[in-house]
Amino acid sequence: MSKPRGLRAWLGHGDALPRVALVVFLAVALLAVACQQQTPQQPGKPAAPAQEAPKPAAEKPAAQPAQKPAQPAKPAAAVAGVKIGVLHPLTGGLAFEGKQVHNGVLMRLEEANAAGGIKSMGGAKLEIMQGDTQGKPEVGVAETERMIRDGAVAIMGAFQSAVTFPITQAAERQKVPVVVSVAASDEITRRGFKYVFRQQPNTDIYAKQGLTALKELIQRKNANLSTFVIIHEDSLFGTTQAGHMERYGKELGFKQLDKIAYKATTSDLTTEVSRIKSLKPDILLISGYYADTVLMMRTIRDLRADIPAIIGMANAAMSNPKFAQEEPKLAEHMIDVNYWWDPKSERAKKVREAYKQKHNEEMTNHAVQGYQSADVLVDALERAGKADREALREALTKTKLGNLIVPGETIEFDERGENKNAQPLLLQFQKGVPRAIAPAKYAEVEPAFPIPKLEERLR
Amino acid sequence: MDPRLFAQAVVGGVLNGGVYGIAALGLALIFGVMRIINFAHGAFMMLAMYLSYWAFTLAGVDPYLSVMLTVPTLFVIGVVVQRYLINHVLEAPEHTQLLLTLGVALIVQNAALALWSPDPRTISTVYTRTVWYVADVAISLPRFIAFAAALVASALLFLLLTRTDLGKAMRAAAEEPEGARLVGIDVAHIYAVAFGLGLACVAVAGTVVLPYFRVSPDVGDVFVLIAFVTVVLGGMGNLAGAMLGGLIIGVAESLGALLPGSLKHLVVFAIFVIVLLLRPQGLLGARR
Repeated sequence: MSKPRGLRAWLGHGDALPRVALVVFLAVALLAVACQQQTPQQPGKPAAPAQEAPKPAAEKPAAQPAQKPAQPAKPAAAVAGVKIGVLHPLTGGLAFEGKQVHNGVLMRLEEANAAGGIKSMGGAKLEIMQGDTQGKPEVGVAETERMIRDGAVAIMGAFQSAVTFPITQAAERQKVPVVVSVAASDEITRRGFKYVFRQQPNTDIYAKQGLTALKELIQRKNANLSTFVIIHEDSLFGTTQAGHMERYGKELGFKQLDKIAYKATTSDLTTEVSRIKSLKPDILLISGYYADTVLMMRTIRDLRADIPAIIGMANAAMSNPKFAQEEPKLAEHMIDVNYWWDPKSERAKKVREAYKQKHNEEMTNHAVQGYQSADVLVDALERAGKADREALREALTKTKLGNLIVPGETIEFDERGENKNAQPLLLQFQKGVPRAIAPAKYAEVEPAFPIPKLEERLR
Repeated sequence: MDPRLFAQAVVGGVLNGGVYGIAALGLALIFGVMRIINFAHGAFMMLAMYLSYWAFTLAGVDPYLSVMLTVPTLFVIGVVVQRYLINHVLEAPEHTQLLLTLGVALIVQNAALALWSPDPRTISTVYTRTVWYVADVAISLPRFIAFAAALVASALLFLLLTRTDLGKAMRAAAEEPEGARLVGIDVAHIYAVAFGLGLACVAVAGTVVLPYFRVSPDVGDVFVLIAFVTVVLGGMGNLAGAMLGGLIIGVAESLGALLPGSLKHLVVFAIFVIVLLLRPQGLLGARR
């Protein structure tokens, strides 16, 4: 029992070692916490690591030895940078999704820098200030306010509706434009705000267009499907999405059997899925994030809940290539209503390839949406001509952006800041790849519908 | 209500509750012996899950066999963390203890985030997809194994505490540290072992959960946040209470999911508040 005493005796001095260890640990702990808060701030400086990385890559095409061009580039940086705050959940339960959006946004902003900055501002570079919302509204607001204090001309964020909702409020108060990267709840633009711009479809459009396309599909395939159950995660996103699905579902003549809410961080969905199974719906509509949707699909398999049509609504898993990698059999034939790349766009192809090169994974819908919204911001900055919040807001309202990587001819905002032309697609996993199946204009493949029986799919 | 639905909810709840129980058991042991609330418990569960994940992915080790790896590793980590960190705040005010364990959690979680990215990862094995049907009630094999393993692990811990000298010494140190010292028990040593055992429990939880649940740096929160409630519900520091609390919460969550809206967490906390009102010392309340 005197073993530790022996050790201490050997070290010569009673409690010294443990005390030193404690001090060292506390120092490391403090550092770790400090770093966490600092990382986002660092990019505020021109020489921040996040920005440095893309520079050499950008200068390579100059067909000169990699080191040389770095020097002429320096004087150009004398023009004051344009500060852009980018914040998403980079830690916590939604970090996986948040990282994808973040990567998409950063990729477009870095491209702009690589292409010589904002030309109308004399080649001013974008100074990217990064922030982590941790998936928490209060942290998101605090980060937004910090970025605004530090001179952000615009804010981009924040993946979750529940976080974007208060962030836009904080920015509106201080008259700072927010270009929403991803956040679908239509409540966000229903408050008469003048500084919020969103290019992606909101929950209303998703539900309306998604269910209309579904109805057409059912009629075209002569499928006898009429009853549905909604299951949704219970934060702002899932709840508003479910509300619209209920409304449009009924308007389109479907019969709703039940609407089930769950918490995205749950450890078990057995009861929820057995409820669905006992209702025997023709259609299951799912609004959820990635991990919870995968858990649900696995539970559907375990409980042998055979449903002829399983449709994700702006779902984070149902058209995510990672889902097909993890659960190829479960993912196959699943349908999702999502804002995706335009399968016919050449630019989208190039962007996706560049993304894959950079991140070693397929570009997901979230990354696409992040990229496209950053594209909107870059275009508006170019037209604003100065790093000024008011000028930027003016420019954003006059946006008419073409050559998109998402479906639609142009992006134009209405008085609420919503993209008038946002066009979600119906996607279906076919042979492990999510492909567009509707509307007809964008369809790549013939839909397999209704989906085969569960037993067949698992074979 | 459909009786089959009810039966399925109860079965699902019991199976899930076993995992809550074993996660809470470690927490209760640590609190019972040295009056420390270990806020890093979830982070260590995540660490065990990653260990098991990498053993499976890189070396093809069966996820259940990797318990031979995760339990000793986490035990050693526990002993080290207790000896060199926790041991110094035993007499410190509670907020100091909280800051320390929370700091450990932050470091472990952020290290995992930096090393392994936030991507949720899952493993796929033969038994991941095996499901038994008993009178139309589905029992997923990995969830059943997790439940059984939780029971076995808690039985082993119980035997250790009641039948061995180490266990007796541990209980003595928990009851009356001063007296234990007087009769020659090295209390500091006992504390370190108890902390190690606490982490070993959560290592069991992490390992048996992996075959059916994702691992990501935040995964500890999913199981362990509820474990804090479980521990208080069962009676702070009471081991049987922790297990019972876990089962109750598992079933309550599961039955709560039958109610409209997402009321299952409400049900859990309603039970929690009621128990605190009627039995402030917890269900199997320890004295003190």
